[in-house]
Amino acid sequence: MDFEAIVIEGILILKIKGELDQYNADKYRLRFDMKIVSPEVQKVVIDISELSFMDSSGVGFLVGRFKTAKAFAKDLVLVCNSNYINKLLSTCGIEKLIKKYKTIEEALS
Amino acid sequence: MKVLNYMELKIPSKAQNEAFARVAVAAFVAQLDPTMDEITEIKTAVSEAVTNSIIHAYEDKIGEIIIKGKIYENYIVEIEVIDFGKGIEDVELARQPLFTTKPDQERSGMGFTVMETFMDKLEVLSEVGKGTCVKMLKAIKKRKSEGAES
Repeated sequence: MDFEAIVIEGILILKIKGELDQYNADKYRLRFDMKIVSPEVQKVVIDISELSFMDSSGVGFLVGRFKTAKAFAKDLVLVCNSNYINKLLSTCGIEKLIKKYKTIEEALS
Repeated sequence: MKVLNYMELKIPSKAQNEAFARVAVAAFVAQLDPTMDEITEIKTAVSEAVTNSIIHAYEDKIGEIIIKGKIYENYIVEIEVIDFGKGIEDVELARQPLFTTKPDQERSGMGFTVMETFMDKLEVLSEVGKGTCVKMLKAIKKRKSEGAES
């Protein structure tokens, strides 16, 4: 797994690439939280459109980051246009918790 | 049902082997010419079962996980993920959505639900102190390729 992080006008965009499973979730949890809690960040957009694989450990990881953002009174939304990952997210009922958009532009508007 | 092909894989319960296990199973199933969606769904189900063995069955120790794959006639794939860990006390309860014994570790409690959603049949056999066997079946939609018949 690899990720890119940029902050534009207080919005942190975290783009995750590769595979998000339990092994990677354990490796990246703290690094993501450090970026989310940064004082310059008001809103977080996690872009999972380029993930090639995710399982329920990845879902747990996203919910965990959502909880971190919430604890620091920040919004966290997802960007995803992969049918397979959308099916996984919907199976796990994540849409009830985290807002999801098809593109970064939609998430930022 | 006649078995056309089979495989068996033995790995230690290390997290870095999750990716290896699901890719190995995907490579085995590839001979049936499945769609990308079918391959990804099988990979996800394998990943869930192997993660359960690592996190729950063996917890803080390293044990052995055996992954068996079988291809039956009519494009039926059977995957078994077997561990010799602590076992599951109440299988019915463990299969409930959102059930997790480790809420503090960001476990979603959706592993078995995902396996059930992405595969066609799921059977869980477990004995406390002896281990768990997760058996999954998936029917691959027949495409033009006749690779499975040879």
